[in-house]
Amino acid sequence: MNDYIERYVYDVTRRLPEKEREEVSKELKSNIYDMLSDNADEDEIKTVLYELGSPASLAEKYRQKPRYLISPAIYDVYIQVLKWILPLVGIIVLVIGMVIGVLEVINEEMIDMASMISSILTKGISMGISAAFQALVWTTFGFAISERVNDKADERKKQEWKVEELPEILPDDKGRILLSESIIELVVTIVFSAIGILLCSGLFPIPFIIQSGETQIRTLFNPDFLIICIPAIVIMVLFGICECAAKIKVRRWTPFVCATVIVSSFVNLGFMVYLLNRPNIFSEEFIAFIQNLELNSVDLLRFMGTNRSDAIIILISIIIVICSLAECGKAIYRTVQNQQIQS
Amino acid sequence: MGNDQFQSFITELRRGSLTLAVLGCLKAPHYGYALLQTMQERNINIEANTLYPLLRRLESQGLLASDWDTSENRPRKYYTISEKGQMVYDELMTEWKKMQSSIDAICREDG
Repeated sequence: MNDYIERYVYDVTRRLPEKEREEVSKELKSNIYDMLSDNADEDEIKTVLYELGSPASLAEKYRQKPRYLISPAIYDVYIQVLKWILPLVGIIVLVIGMVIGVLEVINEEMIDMASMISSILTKGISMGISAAFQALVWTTFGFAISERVNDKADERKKQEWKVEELPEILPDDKGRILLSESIIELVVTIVFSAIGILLCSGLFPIPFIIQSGETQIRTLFNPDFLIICIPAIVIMVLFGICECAAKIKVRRWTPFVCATVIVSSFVNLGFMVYLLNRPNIFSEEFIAFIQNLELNSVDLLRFMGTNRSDAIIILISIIIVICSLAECGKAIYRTVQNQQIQS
Repeated sequence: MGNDQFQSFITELRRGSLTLAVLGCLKAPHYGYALLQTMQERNINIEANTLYPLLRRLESQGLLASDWDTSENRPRKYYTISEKGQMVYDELMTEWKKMQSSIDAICREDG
C-alpha cells in the first residue's frame, strides 16, 4: 500500500526537471507520511493523495513558470537531443558542402591551391552552419508541438485521476528506451530520407557533374534507377517512422516494439539489396567516362566501371544484411532482458 | 457569477498574502505539514498542494533557509525565514498596512 505513495511521488517528479526530482521526491514523501497517522490504512493513504490532487496539477505547481516554449519537464531530453543532432547534421552537411566546393572548382577549371581551399571552406562552413541552424529550428519546433499535444492529455488527467491508475515506477534499467535516442533516430531517419529523395528527384543542388577535358558527365546514376529509388525511400522512411513512433510511445523493449524494429529492418534490407542488385545503376556516360580514364587514376572508379563491380555490390549487400541482422539481434536481446525484468 | 469565476477572484486576492503569512509563520522553524497545521489553526485557508510547492519556490528565491533533520526516525525538512526573507517580509508588511488603510478608507466612503 506504500506503493501508492511511491507511485504518486514518482508520477509527480517525473514531470519535473531531473535535477529537482530527488529533493522534491524526498520532501514530498516526508510530507505525505506526516499527513498520515501512524498506522494508516489504504483508505487513509488514498484520502491524503486525493487531497493533494492529481500528480499532473501538483507537478505544475512545483514547476511554477506556467509557460515555456520547452518546459523543464522535457528540457533535459531536448538538450540531449540537440547535443547529438546539431553536430551530426552540421558535420555531415559540412562535408557535403566541401565536396560541392571541390566539384565547383573542378568545373571552373581553376585548380590552384588557393581558390580550391577557399571554395571548400566557404561552401562547407556556410552550408554546415545553415544546416545546423535549420536542425535547431526544426527540433525546437517539433518539441514545442509535441509538448502542446501532451499538455492537452495532461489537462484531462488534472481533472480526473484515480490512485489505482498511477503509473508503475520504471526502474533505470536495460529494458528502457531513452526518449532522446528515439527522437534522434527519428530526426536522422527523416533528414536523410529527405536528402535522399531530393537527390534522386534532382531537386537537391548537388550537381553530379564532373568535367575532365572534353568529356562532361551530368549524371552519375542512371535516371531509371533514380526514379525507382524514390518510392522505395518513401516506403522505408514510413516504416522507420512507425518504428520510432512505437519506441517513443512505449519507451520499453516490449515484444511489440521489437516487432516494429524487425519489420522495419527487413523492409530496409529488402529494398536496399533489391536496388543495389539492379542492372545499370550508373549512367552510361559515367561508365564510359570511367572506362576511358587513364590507368593511373583512381582504381576504385575503374573497378566500378567494369563487370567486376558485381563483386563490390555483393560485398555491400552482405554488409547490409549483417547490419540488419545485428539490429534485429540487439532488439531481441533487449526485449528478452526487459521481459526478465518485468516478470 | 459562476462559482469558478468567484473562486479565481479569491485565489488572486489571496496569492500575495499567502507569501506574507508563510514568511510570518516561519520566524520559528517548521516542517511542511506542521506549517500547514499552524496556518490552518490561524484560520488561513491553504491547501497542502499549494503550500508545499510555495515553500520550495520561496526557498529557491532565497527567502527561506532549509535544513534536513535526520535525528528522528523519518527525515524532515525544516524551513526558517532567511535574512533576505526578513527584509522582504518587512517591506511587504509596510505595503500591506498601507494598502489596508487605503482600502478601508475607500470602502468607508462608499459605505
